[in-house]
Amino acid sequence: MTRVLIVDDEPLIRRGLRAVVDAEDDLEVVGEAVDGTEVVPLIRRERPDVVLMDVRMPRIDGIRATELLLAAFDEPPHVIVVTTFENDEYVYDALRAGASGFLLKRAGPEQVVDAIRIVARGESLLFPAAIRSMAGSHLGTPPRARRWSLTEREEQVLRLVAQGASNSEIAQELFVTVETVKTHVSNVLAKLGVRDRLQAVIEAYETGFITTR
Amino acid sequence: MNPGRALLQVLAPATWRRWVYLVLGGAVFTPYLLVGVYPVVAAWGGRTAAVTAAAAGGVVLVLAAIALTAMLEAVRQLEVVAAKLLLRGPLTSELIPSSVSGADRVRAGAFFALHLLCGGLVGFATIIVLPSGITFLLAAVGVVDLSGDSAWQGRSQPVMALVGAGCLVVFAYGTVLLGALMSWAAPRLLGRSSTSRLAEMERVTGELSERNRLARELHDSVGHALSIVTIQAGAARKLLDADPEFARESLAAVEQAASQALADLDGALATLRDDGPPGHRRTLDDIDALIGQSQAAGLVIEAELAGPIAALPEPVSRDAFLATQEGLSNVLRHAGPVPVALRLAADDDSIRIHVSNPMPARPLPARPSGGRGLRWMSERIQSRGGTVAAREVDGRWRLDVTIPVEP
Repeated sequence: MTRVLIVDDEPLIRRGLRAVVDAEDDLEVVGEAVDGTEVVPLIRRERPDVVLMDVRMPRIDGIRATELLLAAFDEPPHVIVVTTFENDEYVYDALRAGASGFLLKRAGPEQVVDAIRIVARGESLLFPAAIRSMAGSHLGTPPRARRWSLTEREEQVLRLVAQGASNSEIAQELFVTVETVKTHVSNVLAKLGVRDRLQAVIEAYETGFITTR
Repeated sequence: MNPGRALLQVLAPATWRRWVYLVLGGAVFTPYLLVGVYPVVAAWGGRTAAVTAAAAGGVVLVLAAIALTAMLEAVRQLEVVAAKLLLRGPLTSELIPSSVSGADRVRAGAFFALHLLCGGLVGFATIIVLPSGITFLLAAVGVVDLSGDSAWQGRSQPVMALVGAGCLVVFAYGTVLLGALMSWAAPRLLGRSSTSRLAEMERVTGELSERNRLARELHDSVGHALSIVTIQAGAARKLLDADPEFARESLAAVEQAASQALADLDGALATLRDDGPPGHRRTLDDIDALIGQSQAAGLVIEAELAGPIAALPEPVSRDAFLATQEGLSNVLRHAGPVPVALRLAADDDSIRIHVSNPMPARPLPARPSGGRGLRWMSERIQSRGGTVAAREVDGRWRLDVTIPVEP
């Protein structure tokens, strides 16, 4: 059972998301918060796996709340940033702050539950194309210096991860087992010093390892 | 500019384009000069003192004649065209308004006078100094014989050559110098004054911040409402069979959020339309049509229009129209079809708008987000230095708006 926490200042949004999530057998809403201030205590009490986090909220917004919760726990839940608009400056900031993905409020119920499952498993990237264009529009010149070195195989894996491939798709592509892919991915995450695939991909774009052109 | 480039300036095409400009000024100067010469001619042959006095009078006459014509609007516009084409420089890309303030006229008049005087000098140099220089140089090499002229009899050839070359240098660099002077002065005296530039900048900044505000409003209100609609509709679809009561509540939430979004959109679009291309902008010229429409909608309007309303500057008239429109539609929205007193009073400094109606005995059910339009309108008018007051006085609801002509 995947435990989900919903953070949004609008009661109608919380109510709708809760209904959508609770209707699934493998998902369960364990709590709701109306802004960033309530998030850390709620997580401590309810131990959710995934947090659906609104970006724009009064008092503590989604970016700051994400930073806070990632700093507060050794094994923090995965954060999905929920936003009205894709081209929202705040979304990329929240992703850089450590969120595992983002979700548009206009996404249908199926996409919402898919996104929660994908992020909970951590096996592939949410909306790789949107991440790519966000990273592209935020790239400064010149790219940040790269402080890591990967083996050739690990580089291949990182590129496939950035394209949104899941572990099993990468395994097929490289003719190796899924277990081997998982080892490569965790090596990549360790070498890049990041905690999930999205953070690795952002790092790859921002250091110019992968270019958006 | 380094000395080498300054010397080469005499070969630059720009210098000779400016020469054309200066010579034109010289040609225009000629009739003024003749006016000044007239008293001297009349006094000629008399006593020296009389001739001197006549010459002084002539100079005064020339200056007076120039001053009389320099301030004409037609002269200013001709100068702008000539300066743009022949002097070029930063003035070329500047949009010069077709009507300007008194201070701008004075600056343009000073430029015209400068053009005539510099042009007169260059014209003189062109018809006297230039041919003289050539003649002396020819005399120096023996092509022309100046021995018949007593002043030059017995001068050596090198002296002739020096004087000739000096004349050419004076002509050429005089033209460079005066041309540069006119080019320097043109944007300063013919261009828009710093106050009019400032006003233009403020207008552009104001429009930008208006647009940003609108984008923010749309983001917050319509974006928010549509998010609710999507999520609630999705949830309703998913739970339609399992939990019909939940689905019913969701649909009610959808209905309300969508209607709210429409109302907000309505207000935003009204503002956008008024910011549209010229042609579509309504001003107080359209007040009769507005009154007609409002009456068709059920208001009984007693209108009183006073003062030079048609003479108001366009931006002021546009905002005044917006305020009147908002006032009348608010009456319709909140009080329904009731008698309305509408007064517009303009003078040279401002326009005052007054809309009032009896308070409704029982307020109509408020349309979602009513008053947003009024808030938009107030922000806009306050940003231009005006005031907006909406309140109840003696059983009547009254809206009073004042918009200054000069913010």
